[in-house]
Amino acid sequence: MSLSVIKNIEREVGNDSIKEPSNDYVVDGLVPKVVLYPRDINELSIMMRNINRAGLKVIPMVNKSKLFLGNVPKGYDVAIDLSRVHRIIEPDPEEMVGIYGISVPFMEVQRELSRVDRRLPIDPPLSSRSSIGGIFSCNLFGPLAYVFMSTRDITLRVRAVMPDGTVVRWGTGMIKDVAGYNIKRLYIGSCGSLGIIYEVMTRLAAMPEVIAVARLDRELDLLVTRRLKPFGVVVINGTMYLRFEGVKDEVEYRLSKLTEVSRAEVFYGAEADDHWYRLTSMDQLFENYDLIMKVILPQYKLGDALSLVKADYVVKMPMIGEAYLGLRGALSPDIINAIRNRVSELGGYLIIVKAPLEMKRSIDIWGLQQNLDIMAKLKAVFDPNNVMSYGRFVGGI
Amino acid sequence: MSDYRKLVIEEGLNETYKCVHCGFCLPTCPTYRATWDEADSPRGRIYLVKALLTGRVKPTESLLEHLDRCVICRRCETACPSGVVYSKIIEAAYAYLGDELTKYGYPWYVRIGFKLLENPIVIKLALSASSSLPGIPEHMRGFARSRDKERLDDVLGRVFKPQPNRPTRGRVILFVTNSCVAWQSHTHLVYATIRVLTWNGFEVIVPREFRCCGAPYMHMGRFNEAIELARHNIDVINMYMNRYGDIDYIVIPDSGGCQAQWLEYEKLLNTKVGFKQKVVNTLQLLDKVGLFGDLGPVKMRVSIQHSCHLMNVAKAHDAVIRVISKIPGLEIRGLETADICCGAGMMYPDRHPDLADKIIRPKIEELRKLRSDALILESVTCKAHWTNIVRNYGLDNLRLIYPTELLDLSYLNGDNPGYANYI
Amino acid sequence: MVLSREIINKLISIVGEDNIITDDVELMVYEADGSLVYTAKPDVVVFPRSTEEVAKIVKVAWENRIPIVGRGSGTSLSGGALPIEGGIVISLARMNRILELDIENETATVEAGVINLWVSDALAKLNYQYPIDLGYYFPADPGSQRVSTIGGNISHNAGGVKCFKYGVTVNNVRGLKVVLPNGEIRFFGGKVIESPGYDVIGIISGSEGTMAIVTEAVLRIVSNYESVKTILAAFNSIEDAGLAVSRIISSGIRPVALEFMDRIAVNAIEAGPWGGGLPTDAEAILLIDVEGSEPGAVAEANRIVDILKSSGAYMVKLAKDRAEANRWWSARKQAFGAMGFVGPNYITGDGTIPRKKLPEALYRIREIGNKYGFRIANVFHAGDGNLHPLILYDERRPGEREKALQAEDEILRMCVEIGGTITGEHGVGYHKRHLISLLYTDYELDVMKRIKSVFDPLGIMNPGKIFPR
Ligand SMILES: Cc1cc2nc3c(=O)[nH]c(=O)nc-3n(C[C@H](O)[C@H](O)[C@H](O)COP(=O)(O)OP(=O)(O)OC[C@H]3O[C@@H](n4cnc5c(N)ncnc54)[C@H](O)[C@@H]3O)c2cc1C
Ligand code: SF4
Ligand code: SF4
Repeated sequence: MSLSVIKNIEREVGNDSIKEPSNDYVVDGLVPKVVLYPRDINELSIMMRNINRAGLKVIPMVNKSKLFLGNVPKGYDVAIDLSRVHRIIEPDPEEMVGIYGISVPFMEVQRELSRVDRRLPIDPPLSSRSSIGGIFSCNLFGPLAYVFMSTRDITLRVRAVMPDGTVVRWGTGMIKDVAGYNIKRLYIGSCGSLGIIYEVMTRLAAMPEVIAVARLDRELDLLVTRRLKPFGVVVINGTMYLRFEGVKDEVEYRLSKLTEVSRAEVFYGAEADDHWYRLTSMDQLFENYDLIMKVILPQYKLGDALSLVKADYVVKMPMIGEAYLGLRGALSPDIINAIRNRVSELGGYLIIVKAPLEMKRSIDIWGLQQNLDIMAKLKAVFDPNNVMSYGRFVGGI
Repeated sequence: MSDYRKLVIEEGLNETYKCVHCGFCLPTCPTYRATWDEADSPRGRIYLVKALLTGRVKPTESLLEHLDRCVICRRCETACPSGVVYSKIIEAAYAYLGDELTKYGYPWYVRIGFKLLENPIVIKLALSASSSLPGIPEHMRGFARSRDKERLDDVLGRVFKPQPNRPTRGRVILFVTNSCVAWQSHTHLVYATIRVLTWNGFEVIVPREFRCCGAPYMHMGRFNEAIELARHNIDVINMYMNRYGDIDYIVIPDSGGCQAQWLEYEKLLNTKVGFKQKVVNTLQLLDKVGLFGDLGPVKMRVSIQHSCHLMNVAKAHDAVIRVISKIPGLEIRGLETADICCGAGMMYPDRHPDLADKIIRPKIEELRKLRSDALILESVTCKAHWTNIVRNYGLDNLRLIYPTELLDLSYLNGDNPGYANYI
Repeated sequence: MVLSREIINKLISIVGEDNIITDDVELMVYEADGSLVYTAKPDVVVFPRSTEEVAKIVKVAWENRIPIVGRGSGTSLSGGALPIEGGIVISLARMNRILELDIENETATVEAGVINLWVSDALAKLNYQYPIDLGYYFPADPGSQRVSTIGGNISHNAGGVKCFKYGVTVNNVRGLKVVLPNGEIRFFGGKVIESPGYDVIGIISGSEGTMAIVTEAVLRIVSNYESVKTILAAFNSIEDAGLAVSRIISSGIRPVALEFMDRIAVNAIEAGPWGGGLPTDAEAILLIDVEGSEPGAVAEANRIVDILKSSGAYMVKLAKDRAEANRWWSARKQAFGAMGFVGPNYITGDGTIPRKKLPEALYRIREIGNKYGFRIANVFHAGDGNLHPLILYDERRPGEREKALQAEDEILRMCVEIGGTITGEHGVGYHKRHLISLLYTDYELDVMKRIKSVFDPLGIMNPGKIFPR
């Protein structure tokens, strides 16, 4: 890598915006040559322009809590640390929308929103330690998506820096807007491969009158569960939690129906909400297991898929057909492929969220087989020089 | 060009401008549902007529074909949020094209047949001979096949007093005529209507002087004949009004087509006739005044195919359903597409056999699935058509029945002493 | 563009004589869509009956560089379905089978020509067989749902009255089968909530047929609630009605639908055959649905009634039964069409604005109306800020159409000025393509064009749409 690029950048940005790489920036065993630490969008844009010109390989990151997600990079010259680049939180409680910089921790946004009786109606894994950037760039969501839809679905506008440094805006921020192509949807879930999202605008939800979380010591059948009309359901190693929301009469009615089919211990209000976010954050899973897989299935097939793997830790979200599985130790590529084939026969996908490096080197973590040509061409529209998270996304793009 | 013709064209053109092209009428149109070609849709036809009347296009073969394929069921009118009266538009096309469209759509024998079939004697002959003569339209055969044994002549010119021990609720005139093939064939309906009405306390006058309501001429653009018939029938009404003083209702026994035409008389003659509100279907009347007598059980699973004109013009279909739903033991299931034309009108199956087949198929499949015992039909033309359908598609066990006949059956099965023998 | 006999013959050999239109008069019927403002005649219309046939047709177009325009029911209000450069119109109307209703996995798989409402109708019939369940329906419900097709809905990313709660079409599509312009058949997604890779479903949805022909879709279906309550409120002032909307939404209640209509709109509807007994003397009315369990819905409805009253509604009515509610709703859903009574022609504006700007927007719309001498009715999806000013004009008066278009232009510019967008659900299509640059820079538009090229490198898919010339 040419030092001249760094020199160029140095000339245009503040002197603490370039750092030596520390262990925190290691991705899949690779150490970047330099860490860029932009203080604002202008600096970020300058950095990207120079990097792109030189064709350096960049990985953007904020809290670094999910650096394990993605294929082993095909190159890694520069880490861009976005943890201070854009920290605004601007709720508009009346319009039911909010704007957030990607540097802000998710929980801080929630705290800020709760002051105006609002919230981001998503409950993604690792919410306890994620930034807005991490969650939106990977389209992470949890069980509440059954009712509030996915992170991508609630996103109204994305501001981003293109790989060539141009600052762009996708979407106008209106709840309904079909003017031009829906590019914001491409960005959410692109895992840093199209450019750098620096700000998102989303729909909000109001705080409901009542939140209740019921704990059951057994797991109800999916069809029975659906009839109870919960807002979200998560089953952690066999213990089932159902979340209800709404006006008091509504929640009481649902709980009374629940007691007809099962005994339950019920939590209310802030206690229930805290509990819910602890559960859906899945910290224990991410802290303690070497291999974490995510399966996505047609809801009713989730059970069949789970019977394929003997996992040590299982977080199941039956209403949305997803589960995260934790295993101690690795699995061979052959076994993974065998499971994947079965999952794919069931109409689903298996993603390796986290795995020992050896294992990662021998497998595509996304497992997407079709339409890779289109994915590659789409990437090339934004990032013809392959500077962004090179190799980490589907099919190694 | 006659004044009426000019007026029709002008009004029709105006009406085309009211169409905002929203397309809401598309899926209600039987022909669009059969071909999914927008030229066979109401919106498409309106667009074509507009182009025709403004001189943008010539009446090409294809244009005539698509206009001619319209069943004139007027279902599209009920779906239109802009209140476009489609029938005005298609009539304008007929008026504008004169013979051109009818020549295109109707084979010579149908046109000649129309002339012939105004004569009661000829109708009688045709009905008995139609299965053996070549060149007789299927439509005609349908009437012959479904012909009842009761004689229309026996009731014409008579007055039926309310059945004994009934409070009198009013005096009605029944519209039937022996100058129409339908009424000569489906006489059981006429008898049932008289029984049901008299049992419900009505005095029923059955004039002999009525002639065809005029609907068939109207739809072929033969306005002069239609106007003439309308005048004649109105004269008959007036005559009876003078003779009897007060007449409360003019009852059209289950024939949506005739009823709709009666409702058009004012417009056709461009005068007030003063009795438009009095023109009702039998069950519509009974829905309004309430039923007398004991409704006996009729254990049947029935489906309904609404008569287009009864539904879309007279808007009597809800009343019909309300009344028959009171019959104990009756199970009403389907048709899902009850509100979409079956393609019976205007000798449609004769003129467009392929399209008629496409229109009817989904209904046949549903009937097979439901295993209905009977299909309720609200117009004489519908029944003639379905008689053929039942035969051609092998629905041998399906009974075709008018709502009034169903009610009659219920009375027959109930505790109504004297009912059965009244006529 | 005139197609050679050879090409026509090729098309005939694919779909057969009965599934092609070449007659001049018949083609004329396909020169307009729901907007009726502009027209453009195709050279040929084909009616494929399978994805494979679509693929073969498209291949012919690809090899001969012929424009292709998909068409569902032709109800687009932005000129989306017009073959601006001629070419082949592919009507999906004969591909109208519901392929699978999968209650277990909460999806419905349908061909593109299926009419929106059919999906819910078919599901309603299933309930009959599973009485224990509450039943399912397809929640993306544009006002045109009785006629518009799923393919058309996807291509325009249509919205509906329920989209405040259930999202617009794209939020309810799980899988998509498409034919790419080179004739390849591709499938994206599945019966799943997400799939790895870029959201291709999301980019094709709303692309107005400029990337691919949609032939099949896997739709999300949702289950009914035990109870729905409908509330009608009338206001003497637009501001009060706007305030009521904000208060309801802030209260934490998630209404399924929240619709606003102004006096002219209500009067037009009530003049027509679909009048629903809406108050014709009000400056503004609101129509609101909430759903939940019986006690829950009642409690929410009562809360809303209180809010409405305290916000200055002079009349608030809770529908006494579903029949009354349905009357109100069908009146609302006929709103556009009913303009034929008063227009008779109309241009449907479709801006989205920040909700709190409603009074300002309506004021300025009235000014624009006065300036051009048009009456303008307003229908507003209040939950999501989507405003439909309906500009009433008469095409028989020379010059009116052009003037009406100018008025629309001005209204849309105003929407952008106050922070909104030029189209909330009807698409940019042909009518609004000159306005897209109010929203996006040349650089951004260039990115969009390059995305189109990923799918359509030859530029044969619905040319002349979205992007300014
Ligand atoms: C009275 C009325 C009310 C309306 N209400 C609403 C409303 O509430 N919300 C709303 O969003 N819209 C509404 N619309 C607009 C219109 O109904 C929608 O845009 C609808 O989605 C169009 O569907 P269609 O089947 O008629 O498509 P068309 O009009 O035939 O086509 C629309 C666009 O999609 C393309 N297309 C169609 N099918 C395909 C396919 N299979 N593959 C690729 N491209 C295709 C066409 O090329 C065109 O660009 C309304 C329209 C009317 C007339
Ligand atoms: S009258 Fe009937 S057949 Fe004719 S266009 Fe209307 S709906 Fe179609
Ligand atoms: S419903 Fe009425 S306005 Fe709409 S296209 Fe049909 S006739 Fe025209």
